[in-house]
Amino acid sequence: MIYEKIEPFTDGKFSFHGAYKVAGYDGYNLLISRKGTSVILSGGLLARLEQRVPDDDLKFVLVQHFFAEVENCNYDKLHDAGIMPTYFILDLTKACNFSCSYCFRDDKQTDVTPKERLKKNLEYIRNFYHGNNLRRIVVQPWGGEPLIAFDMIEFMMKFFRSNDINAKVEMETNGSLVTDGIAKKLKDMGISVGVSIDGPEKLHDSQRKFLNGTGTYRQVINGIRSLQKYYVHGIGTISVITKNNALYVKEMIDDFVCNLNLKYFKFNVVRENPFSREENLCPSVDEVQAVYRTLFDLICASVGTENEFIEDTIRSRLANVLLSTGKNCCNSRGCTGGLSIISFDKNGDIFPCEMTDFVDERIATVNNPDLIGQIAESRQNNKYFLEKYCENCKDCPWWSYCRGGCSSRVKYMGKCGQIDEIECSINRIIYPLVCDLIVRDREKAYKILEI
Amino acid sequence: MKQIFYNEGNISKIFISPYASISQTSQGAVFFNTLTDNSVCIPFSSAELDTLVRRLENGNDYEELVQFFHERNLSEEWVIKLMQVGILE
Repeated sequence: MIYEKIEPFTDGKFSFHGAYKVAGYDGYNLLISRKGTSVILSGGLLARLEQRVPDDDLKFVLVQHFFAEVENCNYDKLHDAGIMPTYFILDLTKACNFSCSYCFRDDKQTDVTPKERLKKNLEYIRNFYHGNNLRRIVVQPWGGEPLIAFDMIEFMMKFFRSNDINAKVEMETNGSLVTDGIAKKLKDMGISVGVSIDGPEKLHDSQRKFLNGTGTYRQVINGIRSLQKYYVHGIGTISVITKNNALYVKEMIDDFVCNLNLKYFKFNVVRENPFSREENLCPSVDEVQAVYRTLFDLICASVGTENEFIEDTIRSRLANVLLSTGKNCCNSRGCTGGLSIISFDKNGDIFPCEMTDFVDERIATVNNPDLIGQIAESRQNNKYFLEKYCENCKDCPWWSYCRGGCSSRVKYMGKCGQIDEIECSINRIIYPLVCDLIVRDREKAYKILEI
Repeated sequence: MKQIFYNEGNISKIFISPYASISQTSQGAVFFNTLTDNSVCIPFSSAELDTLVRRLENGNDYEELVQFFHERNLSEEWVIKLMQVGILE
């Protein structure tokens, strides 16, 4: 796929702000704005734009899609996200029964958040929820392994019910502690579940081990089977891509789809971090891009078959281009850690996301009721909020979605203020693929979003 | 809502923006622009809303759209309002 830049121009009161053009095969062209919106124009309409002679109808469409503005139009109303947390992560325990090769948690810490502290964190969320008339929030119990603190999860769910809080609760687990009884309780409480699994047995066990060093695959599969008895519409999985399994994506998908009857996946590429049990786990840029190209091809081939599946990294990028609704707090408008998402630790300290609990990145505390005021003050000098930018970002069509990638990951790599190069490489492979799909087969693009 | 493939034949027509979300409430049909968080509530029944959405699927001329509103005792201002907040394009 080749994209070209269309330069900005002004025509009287009409100002076109420039765009990136992706040419399709049937005469239609996808245009991406610097604000992340898109529009699809025929060759004739595009020619009018490129010749800088758009008529009023075309000008109107361009203004409506935030490619242009005229006096008194609503161009500036498409602002970046302000500070309004609606996604809350609660650290329940640092304890985990696994010792994964790439884990960024310090495994010497095994503290469990005391119930009184959890209650105070929940009360803080309740006051913020009702004080700001929120209608719905997302909450993620986090660890360590959150099911080690299962009683805290039950306590949390009761708290939300008794305090009239509409909370969608999502949990990621290693799956090893899930029994039929736990699975039923999780389902009955309405909790969405994702299980970490890194491939077929040999691949999985090479990087996800119990504390005694033995493989965990069998126990994880038992947990998945238990969950599938109650979650009849399916559960999600999270897979970490390292140098060990990057070349085996097709085998992983075959195993997940055909043998385990799964269809909702999220692949995360490992980054260097000081707590890794192993060194040199990071795949190269070429390997990362090969992973997502393979995933993309497999997803497209699966559409409409009985083995249909979706991967969230690709799905969210497709949604960014087609819908521009900014729903993904990590990659729709760059990292919104500390703005739409916050994380509570066992001391009542608040951080921008679950990936960071570095003292210098603390943004607030539950001892101060003014959450938004605390975050606004922290944004002035907290390195977490540094703009991530490099020379290549200047003319990158995907800038408005990426904005330098994950702030926590660059912190772990000691590169605050620099871009996350792995995220950059992922975007540079996926966005051209999804843009190409949109102009080539719009129906398939929408079908993928519906999986 | 889906992206519109604009060409010379439909660029002058009115469509529902791909960035619009629509819901029916007891007050009427609520049109919400997911990019700007603007919303407009029009006193339509669910049947009238269905008819409107169907008319706009393949684009509608502005005058025909205004006529549709007039037939329901709603002024042209409603159409203009929907265009101003980015629900119609």
